[in-house]
Amino acid sequence: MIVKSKLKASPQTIPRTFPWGKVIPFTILLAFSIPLILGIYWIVISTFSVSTRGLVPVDSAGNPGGLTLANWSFLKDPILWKLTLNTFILATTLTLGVLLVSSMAGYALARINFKGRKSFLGSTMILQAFPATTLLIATYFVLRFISGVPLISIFGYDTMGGVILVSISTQLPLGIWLMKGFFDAIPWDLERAALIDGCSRWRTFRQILIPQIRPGIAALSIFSFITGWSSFLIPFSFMTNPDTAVISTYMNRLMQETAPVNYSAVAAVGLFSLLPVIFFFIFTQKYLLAIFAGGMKGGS
Amino acid sequence: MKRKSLIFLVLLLIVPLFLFAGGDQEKEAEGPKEVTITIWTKAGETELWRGLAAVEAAKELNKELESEGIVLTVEAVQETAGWGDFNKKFTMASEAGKGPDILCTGHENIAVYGSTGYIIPLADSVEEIKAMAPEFDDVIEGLWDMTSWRGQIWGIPQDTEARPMFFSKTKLNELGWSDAKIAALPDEIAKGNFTLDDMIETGKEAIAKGVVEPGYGYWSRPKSGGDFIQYYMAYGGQIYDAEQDKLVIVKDALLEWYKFQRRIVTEGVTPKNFLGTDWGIWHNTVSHNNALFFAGGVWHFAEWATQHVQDIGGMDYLFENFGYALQPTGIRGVAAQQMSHPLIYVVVAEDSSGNSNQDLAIRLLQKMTTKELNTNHAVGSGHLGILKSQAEYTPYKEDRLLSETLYMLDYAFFQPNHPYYPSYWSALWTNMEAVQNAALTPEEGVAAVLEVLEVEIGDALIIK
Amino acid sequence: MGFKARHSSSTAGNPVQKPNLGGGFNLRPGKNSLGNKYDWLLFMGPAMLLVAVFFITPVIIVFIISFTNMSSLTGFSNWSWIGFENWIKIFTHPQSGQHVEVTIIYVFFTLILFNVGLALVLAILTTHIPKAAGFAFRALWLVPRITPVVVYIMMWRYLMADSPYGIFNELIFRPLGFETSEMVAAYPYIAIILVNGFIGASFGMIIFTSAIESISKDIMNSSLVDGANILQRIKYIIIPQIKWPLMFVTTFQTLSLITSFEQIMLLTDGAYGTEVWSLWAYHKGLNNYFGQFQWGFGMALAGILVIISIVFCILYLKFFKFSDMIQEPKIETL
Repeated sequence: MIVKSKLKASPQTIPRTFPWGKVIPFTILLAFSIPLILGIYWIVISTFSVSTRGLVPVDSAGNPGGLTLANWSFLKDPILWKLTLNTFILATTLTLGVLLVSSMAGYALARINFKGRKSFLGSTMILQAFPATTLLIATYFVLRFISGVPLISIFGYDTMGGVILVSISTQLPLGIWLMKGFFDAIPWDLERAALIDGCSRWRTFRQILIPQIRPGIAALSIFSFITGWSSFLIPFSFMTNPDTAVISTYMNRLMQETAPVNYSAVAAVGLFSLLPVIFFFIFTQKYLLAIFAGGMKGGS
Repeated sequence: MKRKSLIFLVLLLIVPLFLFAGGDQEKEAEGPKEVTITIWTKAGETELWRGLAAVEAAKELNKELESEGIVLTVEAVQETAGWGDFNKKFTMASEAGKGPDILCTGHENIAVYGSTGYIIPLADSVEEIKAMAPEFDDVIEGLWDMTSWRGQIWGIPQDTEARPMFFSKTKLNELGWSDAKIAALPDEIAKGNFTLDDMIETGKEAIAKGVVEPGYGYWSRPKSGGDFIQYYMAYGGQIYDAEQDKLVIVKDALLEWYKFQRRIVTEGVTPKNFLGTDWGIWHNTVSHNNALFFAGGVWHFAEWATQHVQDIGGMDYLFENFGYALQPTGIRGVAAQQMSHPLIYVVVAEDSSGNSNQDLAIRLLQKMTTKELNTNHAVGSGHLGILKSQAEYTPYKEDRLLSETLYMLDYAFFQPNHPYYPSYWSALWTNMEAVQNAALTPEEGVAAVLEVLEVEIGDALIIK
Repeated sequence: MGFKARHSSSTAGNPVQKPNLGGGFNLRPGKNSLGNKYDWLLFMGPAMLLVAVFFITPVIIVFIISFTNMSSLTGFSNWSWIGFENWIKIFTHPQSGQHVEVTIIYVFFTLILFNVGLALVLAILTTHIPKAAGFAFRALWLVPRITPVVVYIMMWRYLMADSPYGIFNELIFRPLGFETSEMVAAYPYIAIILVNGFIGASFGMIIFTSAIESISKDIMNSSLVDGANILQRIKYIIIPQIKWPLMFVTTFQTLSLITSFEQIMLLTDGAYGTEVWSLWAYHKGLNNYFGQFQWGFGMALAGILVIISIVFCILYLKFFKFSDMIQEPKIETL
């Protein structure tokens, strides 16, 4: 507010076009991005060549040339498509679960006054400090305990239910904070009207608020989807059933210590597994950038 | 009010339960005579025979079982994770009674899984296991050592490998070595007449004469791995005292080894900052005949032939250019060695697998330990065989590399079955890397190793 | 969208402002008319349950295990209590100091230079160039985050490898006549900071970008009209408006960095003195080359991280005046 009035107070001048205003940022950005551009260019080149020297594709003897499609031959492997489907199912289920749980909690934290609200928010931030790998063994004990309890044993060790719940939990710190921010930014007139009319909290949440935070849902879903798409350790460790293998398994299979490794093929599989996320990003970009516009706004 | 909120909570718990219940995998009661044996292996693309052998063997075994009224199905699970995650998964599953019936694992885990009761002993002595089946009698004698623990036999060897020192025959030729001298090199190395010192000297000479580029005289493995312990052993080291079940550090051997690791850089036969070189770069460099000496594994030949030199002759190119020998000794006149890391099949206990098919599992293992099935794996993955009869079995003999390196098993040493070995190795490795990069002097490196091991291992270490 | 952006920006500069000022009236109806008093349990239930079961309980178990000798050798059933032995081991370990040192260097510089610093620079710059170009740069910077980490690390290995493979060496140092060498080994600290920073920057970049985009166009344009240059605009308009995301990103990323090790593990595996504390814990207790573990000791090492993280979190929340920044729920203050 203060800033605004200060600027308003200064005498109006005719807007001058800044000749360097666009060029300088662009140049700085480009400079920072050089390693990335070179690196990504290399990844792409290397998947189409036998070997590389610097950025130059070479054949096996080291002479320029050596372009090949062989590294992409994995696309013909039927297993790949099954794993891709598995991964897609896992990532989607995870994303839906994270969205549901986080949006409910985010709503309560933003809209309902209850004891322990602030401490819950504060402590969910701390949760970020516990990566799944650190808690793996401890989580195993929890799942084993759940397995022993009759009614909820379907969320125990060696069940899909357990894997999904653990995966959702790891995403909660981020999800709850993002969602809370989005709800904060929604004007509450609509909701107030509905509540005064006798509409229940749940119905208000579902029918009035959820449509309002679509950008937030898109934003959180890309972060969750990325995590689900690349997850390996949790499904691997807590499921003994091999049918649930995911796409990262495929890459592991190509990189065994005592078996031939074609690193260019690994890069090709990596690029392939990147594509769905890139598409996801492009289509949700508009919403993604709205994390703040709608959300992340804790400050009133 | 409180009660109401409780009802909410309970509802929240129960509703998804029923939603999920439908999706839970059903475990149908098996027919009275159908038995499923599950086998877990860790396998890459070329190593699938680790599990497929069981599937094939089951066909054979089912012929026998027909009269007993049993139909056996094998479910082979081929995992791709690293050893750490694979072992963790097995431990968790075994504790929960959901382990496999047969596990393919590194021999060093016998002590670990034996003491926790996850696996069962198969026989009380080597004689007994050999008497159990002609297939087991065929296993190479020396391999039973590493399946023994507390006087009992706990596993059946699956495969093994050798870690040779490769050398470029064509480069040695350029250096003026006669074909006869080159052909005799493996033997000279085995006898201890050609030492690590000689290797450095030869490398320096090759660089001086321009046969190889500076820094390409000797390339070790580029990353952490038990392979480096071969040079500690080469200077008279000892890792393990079986009688006291303790790890051992021989200070003099450690110092000499560290001096060697530093010397290869100061003498210019290995590049500065070499450790950490990307595997892809390492393979590409050595397979294209750029280095004079390089330490690797027998399975690397297959890797080079299919991934790096496939368009300039593959295997033929490799045999034409490279020879392979044991790892040279550091002490003249002492026989050379190399390290093997055999994999074994173990039979999982009833409490850990949740099944009582142990006897069937052992019978299945017999059918898997045949020269036909094992050679499929050995040839397909570039690993050494485990059976005496394989030496004469034509498909195995036709694999030149495998048949020419099988003798290396007679010079093999194994890493110990000790739970503190990872700590032991990481202390040796961390300081070796610091010494090679001149962050520490060899003497400081040795002192640092002892200091760390005293805290981490303490009583379980003998310092000589 | 436009409406929401205006709504938030009009009040954002003033975090302590009482939210009920926004409403024109201060009616306070009986609570029951706004739904049940325990409605919050319905909404918080699933999250609280998951957090309690899959975060809090495991953390307690981590601490319990740290007082045992549990290892691969004992399995999960044959262990015994050994008191503070594992904790004493940490404080007497000759390498503890080195691990602390590298962890501090790594977290501090990655956070300041990349996860917050570069993220802010990227966010500001990409919002000051044409939209399509800004989008392209943001997409480019998101690639490290979504690339499988194995491939991403391979990319850096080849960027920093020795000639003739290494890209920097081939394109820059060799043509200029410098001596080439494996750069990860030659500059290990710079390498781990770069590799993590290029991933970390995208998180802050996205959050800051959306924050900047949401600043009212009126304010932005009026600054241009007033002849403010880009630096003044950053100082007087952008920074004050994105205080909250700055706090969020700083805290969130500090905690993430303290516990992250995957990239370092794949890049150096702790060689050249780059074994940060979390990687050390991982190697001892959770995963190593041989696949045999000292869970008790590893959990004690992880426990130290948990304690440090909690301390950091409390400090940050105090420093950034977290309580003031949390908005009071509007609906209760009709």
